[in-house]
Amino acid sequence: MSDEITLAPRIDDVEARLRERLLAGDAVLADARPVLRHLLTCRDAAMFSDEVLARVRGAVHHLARQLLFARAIAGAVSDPSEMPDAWEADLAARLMDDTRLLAHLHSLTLEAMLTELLHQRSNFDPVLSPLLQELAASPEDGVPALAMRTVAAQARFMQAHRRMELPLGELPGDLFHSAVLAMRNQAGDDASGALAEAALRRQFDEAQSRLGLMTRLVMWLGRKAPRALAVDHAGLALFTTALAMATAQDRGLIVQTFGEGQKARFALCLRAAGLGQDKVQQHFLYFHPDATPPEDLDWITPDHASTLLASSSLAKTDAA
Amino acid sequence: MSQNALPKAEARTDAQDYLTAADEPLASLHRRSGGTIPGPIVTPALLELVRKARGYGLRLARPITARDGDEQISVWAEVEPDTQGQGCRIALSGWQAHPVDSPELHTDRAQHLAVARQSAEFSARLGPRQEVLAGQGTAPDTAELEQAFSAGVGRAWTDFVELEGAIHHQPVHWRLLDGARLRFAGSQRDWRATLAPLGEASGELGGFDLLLCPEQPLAESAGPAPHDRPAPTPRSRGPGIGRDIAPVLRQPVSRIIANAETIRTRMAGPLADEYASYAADIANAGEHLLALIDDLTTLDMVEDEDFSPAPDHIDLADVARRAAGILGVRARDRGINVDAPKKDESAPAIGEFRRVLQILLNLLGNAIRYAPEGSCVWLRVESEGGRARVIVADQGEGLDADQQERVFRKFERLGRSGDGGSGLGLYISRRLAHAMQGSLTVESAPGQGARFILDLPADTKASAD
Repeated sequence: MSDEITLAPRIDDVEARLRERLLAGDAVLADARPVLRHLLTCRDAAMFSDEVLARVRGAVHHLARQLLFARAIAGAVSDPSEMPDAWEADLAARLMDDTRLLAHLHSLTLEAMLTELLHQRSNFDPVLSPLLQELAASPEDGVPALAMRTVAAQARFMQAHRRMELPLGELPGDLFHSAVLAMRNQAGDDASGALAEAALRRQFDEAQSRLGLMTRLVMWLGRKAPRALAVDHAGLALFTTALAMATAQDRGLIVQTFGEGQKARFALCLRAAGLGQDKVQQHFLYFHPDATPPEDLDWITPDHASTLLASSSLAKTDAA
Repeated sequence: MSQNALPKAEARTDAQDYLTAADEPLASLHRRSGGTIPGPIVTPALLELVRKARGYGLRLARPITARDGDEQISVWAEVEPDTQGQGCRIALSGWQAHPVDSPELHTDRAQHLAVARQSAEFSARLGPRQEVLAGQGTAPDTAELEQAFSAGVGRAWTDFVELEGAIHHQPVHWRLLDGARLRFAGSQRDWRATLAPLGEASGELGGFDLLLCPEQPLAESAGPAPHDRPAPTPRSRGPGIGRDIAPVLRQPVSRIIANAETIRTRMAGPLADEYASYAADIANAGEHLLALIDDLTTLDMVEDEDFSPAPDHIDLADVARRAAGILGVRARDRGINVDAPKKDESAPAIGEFRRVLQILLNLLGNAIRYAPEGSCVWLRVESEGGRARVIVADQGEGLDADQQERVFRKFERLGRSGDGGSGLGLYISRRLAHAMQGSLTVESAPGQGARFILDLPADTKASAD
């Protein structure tokens, strides 16, 4: 009898653990088919190449490490290097639950890879574009400093990309907020969580992030600054920001627009930003050298192009 | 776009996100938008940013856009929350005001254009250098300008009008000419020009629509007031002689002819031979006028965009025989032998009987009128490859290449005059042929006679039978 009493919870225990793993297995199987189908049918192989996946994963883990490091400093462990590896994997998994964060990292990865591609193919400087050089020499008060900070931020971004990293401070405010919350949730009642959070929030300054600096620079140029709307002149990063602002779309969506399967969206974006047929053709040469750009785009007014873009389902879900 | 050189503007908010203090120009914008200090933030984008920054406890920085009257304000906003979450410090920089792409402004222009299009009594299409491509008037006093335009294709339109206020250097930028007052030969009225650039959106000028609107309505005596008629369609032509004047003219002209015939035949009593022959002249002239009115009526009809003949199953050989029968007397008068298709010949085609007969009467009439006396005119039919043809061949002087090209033009007389032709017959015939999915062409060489070929879709079903 006494054997049975001690045995029963163990059986339950085993059963519960098996059930849990079974459920996890179910989830994997349930996801497998749509994922496989997507990978097989996705026309844009570059969008989910092994390299892209590895880099996004790398960036998530780097974010997790930075959050844990903040906790370590706040007193979770005496020596940050002694942080249990399991914590990092767990926090990374929590961060990956935020699809907006994944989409952002995905876009940044694609942007950096495209920057390198354009460097090889068209010899565009990944960091210092002609427009940034021009702005750095501008006589306007404050503009050269802003331009130089942007150059530095872009250089850091490319460097971080090569290392498969992403500094926490580079996240937009909303994503930073949810990343910090994920760290707090993992820490639970541990006091180091709250302390680390307060410290991280204090350090955060969106205005100094690469995207913040670029936005500000494009704003200074004017809302539809034509000079920033030429990728050969502005460089990919500023061009992307300018295009996003000119078409009032999310910057990440603009990066996705550069992909293989999005040529129509790309042409419409350029048109919505007010570029004419010749400029659109020129940009197709840079982004899709093998493809023929859509013709007779001049028939579509920029306003109509914006309306068309806004009517796409993606734009609608973004707005929601 | 104007760049405001103001230094950073600062503002403060409290725990309720109320604006408690603000520098210029934010303070003015806030008050203009109906806000008070202290009071809630009235700029939606700024309010959202402040709420977020306070809620997250994060320093956020975003571009903000707001509407200020007829200007669009864009500004870079940095929001820093207090450590206790009791409010935020706002720093605004890079304040920029763009004039809004005012929809009202565009609407005004569009409305102006719509009114101009509606009230224009002369409209023309110009090329990118303001050179004349084509012009059409709807008022009687624009006829002269219309002719000048069609003769002066390729020249600057300003060559044909007198612009008020001397503008010496041509070409003038179109904006200077838009709205200009002007006069032109043939019209007693003052006109105002409206120029509508085409293809402006693409950044490349494709040309202009030139609209001339009269400043005064046409005087009663000068012709029918254009306002009495329905709005002119772009293709509607001239003074509308066919529709408006013909019915009025036909009756008195018929009476002139009838009375002249009465005098000529001395029905009312004996008369000197000279007077009888004058009466015959009057009757002939009247007949000519009547024919001209008929031609102009037809012209109006065939130039109407809505004109479409009623297609029917017809036999071109039959139509040709009838035409030869109708004009037989006239042909015999001139000693011309008309060789019509034989009784057993047929060429089934699709077309409107009345119109095909009209074309053949015109072609045959021309041949009889201009071929030498005693010559022969052949009417031949043939069918092949889904087309049916009727050919009118004469032994006249023939036409050279230039004449062949001109002969189908409106009012083209090839230098002839005084023979009762209006110069409209072949033009109308060709329009009719086109309207029936056919064609009217000429083959000729000087001294070799001419062959006019009317080509229509064959009635394949009837020919199979």
